[in-house]
Amino acid sequence: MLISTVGIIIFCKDVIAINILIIYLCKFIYKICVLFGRGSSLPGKIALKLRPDILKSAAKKFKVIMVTGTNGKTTTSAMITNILRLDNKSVISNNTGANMIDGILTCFIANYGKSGWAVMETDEAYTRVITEYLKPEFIVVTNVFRDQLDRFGEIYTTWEKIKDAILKSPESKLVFNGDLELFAKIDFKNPVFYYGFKNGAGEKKVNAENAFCLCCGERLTFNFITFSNLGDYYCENCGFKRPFLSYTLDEIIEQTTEGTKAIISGVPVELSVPGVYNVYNALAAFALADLAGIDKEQIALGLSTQGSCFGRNESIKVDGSSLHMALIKNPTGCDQCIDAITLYSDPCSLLFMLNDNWADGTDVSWVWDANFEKTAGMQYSKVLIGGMRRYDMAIRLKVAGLDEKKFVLLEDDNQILESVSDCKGKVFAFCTYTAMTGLRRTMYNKGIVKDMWK
Amino acid sequence: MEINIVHLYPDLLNTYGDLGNLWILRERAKARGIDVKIHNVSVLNDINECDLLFLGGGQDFEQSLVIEDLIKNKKQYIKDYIENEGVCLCICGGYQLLGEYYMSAAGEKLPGISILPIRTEAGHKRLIGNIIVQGENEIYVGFENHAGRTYIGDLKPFGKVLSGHGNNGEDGLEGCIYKNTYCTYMHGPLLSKNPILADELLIKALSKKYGNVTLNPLNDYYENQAKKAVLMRALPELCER
Ligand SMILES: [Zn+2]
Repeated sequence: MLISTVGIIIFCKDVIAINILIIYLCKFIYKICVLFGRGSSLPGKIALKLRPDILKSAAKKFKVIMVTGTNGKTTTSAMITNILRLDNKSVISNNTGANMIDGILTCFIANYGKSGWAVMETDEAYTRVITEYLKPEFIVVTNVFRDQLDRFGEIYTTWEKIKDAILKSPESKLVFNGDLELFAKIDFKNPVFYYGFKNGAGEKKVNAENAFCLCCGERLTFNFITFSNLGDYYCENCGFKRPFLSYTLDEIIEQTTEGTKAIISGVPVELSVPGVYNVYNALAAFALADLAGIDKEQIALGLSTQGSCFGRNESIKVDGSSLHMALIKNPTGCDQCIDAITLYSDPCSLLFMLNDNWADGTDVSWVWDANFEKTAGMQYSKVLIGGMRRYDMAIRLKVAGLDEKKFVLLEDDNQILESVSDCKGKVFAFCTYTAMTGLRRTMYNKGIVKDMWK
Repeated sequence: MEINIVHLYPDLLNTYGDLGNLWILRERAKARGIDVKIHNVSVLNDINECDLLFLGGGQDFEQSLVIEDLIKNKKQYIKDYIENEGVCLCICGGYQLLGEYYMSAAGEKLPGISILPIRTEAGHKRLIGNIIVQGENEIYVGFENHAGRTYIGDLKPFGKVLSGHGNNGEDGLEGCIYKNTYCTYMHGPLLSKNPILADELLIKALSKKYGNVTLNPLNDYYENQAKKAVLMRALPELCER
């Protein structure tokens, strides 16, 4: 195959044909990578080097759904994929978190020859590179919060990047979180659909800590806030207010650590993932699926059979203990994990792992903006602390009011797993990205988990 | 004893865990039996009792909202407070605002309150990463993340850069000190890994109020280990000492 490929490249002068050949060549490389057990973005990287515009050819037969935003893009993409698949649609997606240009391109290369829907979770910074070559059918933006400011500088800078991406694709239908003020002041030609909460879930508070009108700078007033700065806002000074919502969360019926029962746009849904933040993800997926023409009952079925994504709520048996892992990476997402886990009121232990590699965010100061105070009220018997920046974490937890006498500082994954099994019960873990993947690799090597990537 | 800590614009200037600095001051004071009151002062509010003033950093949009109120309502108070040797800690955006002007990321020239003779120019590359500086008696560690390049003229620096960028990435200086006002780009938050500095601020504020105050030492094992972890990575030779 390789010889014939090279042969055709030599004889072929047609640009499109060359692109197709490069794609086949990279698909071949992809298969070799898989054979050696390495899922990587290498094929995409090589293809990009050869032809920067190769994405256009690789994705030609797909209707693309681009999902971006600070938090929730993995879960939202997984929900959309699940709904479409249950409806017997052909769907591809980059669901292991390879969400930069080379990862996305690799996904298209690996699936070259197929057609149908492509659900692409996209890193905010790469959205405008993607729309340079692809015109997605839909662009879903979950939210823009403070995340790894060392990478993106400021939330407004991130939002500018996403806006640039949208300007390059004026026909894409936009699905936006209507409860986030930032998304209301826009000037696109695209059709826009907003989703949000009809009423506040749980307590109502009307003072967001730092929400100011983007039109006149006055402090915003809220009829209710769901979390962070999300809610039904308006400006008393200039009349700026939340836009019309095409899709609404009508009512939350029940919330547990396992999931949420709710009514979305008149349809009862049972979400198999917990927390208000996942209700937002479900709203985004619901809106998208409805716009894509999926039957509403079918959407509800898709949402109720949604499994937990890698690292985003899963339970692992470690001897007599069950380790419940949550990925933390920024204050808003971390607070949502804390809210979901603190619903658990029985005795348990806690594990915190803080790393500061590139993928975690090199700045650990964000832990001071997350509400670890709330975990101090749990019935914990031990507080295990690990990771490269474990002492920073220990100081944070001490100030948060957790009992210092129960702290156990652990140097490596082996020590951590030993301590976890000594807990003999539920252990709730909060881990940054590389801390989690590292621990998972150690568990894989020890045979505690069967797959490195779930 | 009692200490009044004023947090200026907590709703507008609070990025990179700025609030952590106040919590650490509070915990360290409480551990010595000192009463702590934290007063949140924002737009239109007045500063009343103040033994320690804190000003954090914000994003350009929020910072632009702050300037107007600072100039109109608080400039004179802060100027008198600083000149009278009141204790003041300013980080990142709060540091820039005390100066003559600063250039925003969008290239707009925004006025400061001109209490200190410092200027902040725009830079295109953000200066980001762990930073280690040599202060007068102590080595400090933190994390910096700023686009602005600040020049402090003849003022005394907060420290000399041992690793990282500092004020502007050129002159090897970080932050500035004027009387009892400490300005720095170091967050992290700064006081979480520099307990000696936290105590220095408390001692200065309390001594100004009650005459010579000393504080008994606390167990700073985690704090010192956290600092050592940063030092070990960039300057392992410093840890030998
Ligand atoms: Zn307004």
